[in-house]
Amino acid sequence: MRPLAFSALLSALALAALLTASPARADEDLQRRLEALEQTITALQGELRALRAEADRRETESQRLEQAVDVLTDELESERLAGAEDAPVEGAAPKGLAPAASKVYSKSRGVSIGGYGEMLYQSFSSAPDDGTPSPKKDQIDFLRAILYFGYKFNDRIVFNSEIEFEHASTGSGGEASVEQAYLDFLVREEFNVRAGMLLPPIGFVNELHEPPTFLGARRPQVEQVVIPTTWRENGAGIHGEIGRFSYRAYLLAGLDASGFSDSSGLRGGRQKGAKSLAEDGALTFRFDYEPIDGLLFGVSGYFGESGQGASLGADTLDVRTELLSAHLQWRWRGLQARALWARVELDDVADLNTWLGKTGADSIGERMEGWYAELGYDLLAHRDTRHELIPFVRYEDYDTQAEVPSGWLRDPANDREMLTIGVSYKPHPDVVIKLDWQDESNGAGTGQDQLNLALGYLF
Amino acid sequence: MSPLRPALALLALLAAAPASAVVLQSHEAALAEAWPGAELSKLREFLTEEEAARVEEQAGTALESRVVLAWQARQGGRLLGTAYLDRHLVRTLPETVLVFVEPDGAVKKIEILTFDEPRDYLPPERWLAQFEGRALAPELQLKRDIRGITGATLSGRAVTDSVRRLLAVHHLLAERAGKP
Repeated sequence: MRPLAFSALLSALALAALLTASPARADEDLQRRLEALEQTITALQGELRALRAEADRRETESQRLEQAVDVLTDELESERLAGAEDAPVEGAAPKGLAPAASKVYSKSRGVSIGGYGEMLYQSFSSAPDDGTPSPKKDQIDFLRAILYFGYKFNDRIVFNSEIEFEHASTGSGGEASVEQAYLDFLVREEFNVRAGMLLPPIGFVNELHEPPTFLGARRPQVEQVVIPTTWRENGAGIHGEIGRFSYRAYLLAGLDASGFSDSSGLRGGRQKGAKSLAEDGALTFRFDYEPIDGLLFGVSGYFGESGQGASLGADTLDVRTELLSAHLQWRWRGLQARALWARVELDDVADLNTWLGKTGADSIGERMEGWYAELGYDLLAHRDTRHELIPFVRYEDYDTQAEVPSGWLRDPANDREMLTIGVSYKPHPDVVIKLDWQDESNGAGTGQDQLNLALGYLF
Repeated sequence: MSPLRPALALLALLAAAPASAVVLQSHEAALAEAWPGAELSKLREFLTEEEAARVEEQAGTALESRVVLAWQARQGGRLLGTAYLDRHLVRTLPETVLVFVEPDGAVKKIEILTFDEPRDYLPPERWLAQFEGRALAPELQLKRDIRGITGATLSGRAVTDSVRRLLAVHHLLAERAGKP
């Protein structure tokens, strides 16, 4: 537009000069030049209109784009807020309540699926400590393939379950079991109700047994033979958190003493929620206290009777069963440490032995006791990687016949010690490869060392 | 009376109780509590692929989205801080988090707005408090300066990762504005 305007100005100046210079030929020239000027002005006006229209169009387009970006980012915001924008605005957490006490968890409803699994290779030393030939053969087992299914009916009623396939195939000695299946009725953080097939909340591994959550290819033996992990039973109870305390307490069907044994303790007495005899019940509980993040200690226990209606002559066998355990866990930077102690005490063991026909050193332990301590350190904690490489050591000492009734004998083979030294490698927090060596020794010299390699995952 | 009756009555009561709010808190409430009386404006920024790659490298974790959604609080024209919105998976279900960042790049506080995993895995407020006053640094990591959550490793990781990437985004936006 500028060159055009400039040329129009020049034309006007030239016209003025012409008018003053030669008045005689002026009319004709003037007429011609006026026409030219008019044409120029018309052209200019047309160009200006077109430019204005283009500017308007661009303005509209830009507004439309801005609006579109706003709409899209608003939608994205709403999606990212996931319903948080609908919560009451006046709701800063009510003072006087623990902050999370005012919080109701979770928005979504419906199905959730998870799982974990582990494969274990075990290679046994050629002979036990006493040098006798070993019948044990090396083995690789797909030990567990587990699926979790959950369903949220609403914000107050949640279902959770754990379906387990052990040893890969029921056709080859494996098992398919329901390990947990319960409904949680959520009332408030401090008090909730739970009913169904539950895990007695004892020790570390019974409740938290996904392979990436514990060190070692095999679970600690104390949490296998003194605490019979994985222990599950039908019942109901309560649970909650109060500040840095948490608790669980359930009433369950009791153990069945007819399955107790000298070397595996209570293990065979688990009824696994399958037509569980409910002549006798039990109370199980747990208290945890976490004074600072990373340091946790607590106690757990089980008190009940395990006779399930068995009788010897005119006497009913109550088989009062008490299990008490204490645990400590400390995680600080790359360090992780655990210690656990557990003791089982049984009544009526002499009568139980007689009823089950157990003689000599086959007696069920009147007292079973064990403890372990383990320490691991993540060598990569301070490296620029998310992988974890955790060498660890665990020492266990346990005896399933710490005491037997008079008239029966203790089998020194049940007084066991286990040293495990190994390494856990996690390329992802939910995936683990573990390699360790276990030195088992017992009072009878029949302990046998083994090398383990395990693959574990959870999702 | 059968010992079951009180238990059944309790269950009936629970089943009849109306479901209350489905989220932990609204973002408006969280923003108002963090900066009472401040003027709030929405901040929407879009990262180029190259910028997103830089943020990921600095944070050491993947970016969930190249669209930055945040709120800025001002009082009398002075910037009080920025609250970044992030939504990500914890284990199999998501959570929504607001990370409040001071103008100097330090965390003011963290609020969890929604949490779909079981409540057992919800990071306690006392755990979230350890991020306060911390800026993006190599030590802002689990197993380093950040303590884990007992029994909820994945929740701790999800929040730590979220804080790291939002601080990296904050850093990038500050660089863009010419005030590193």
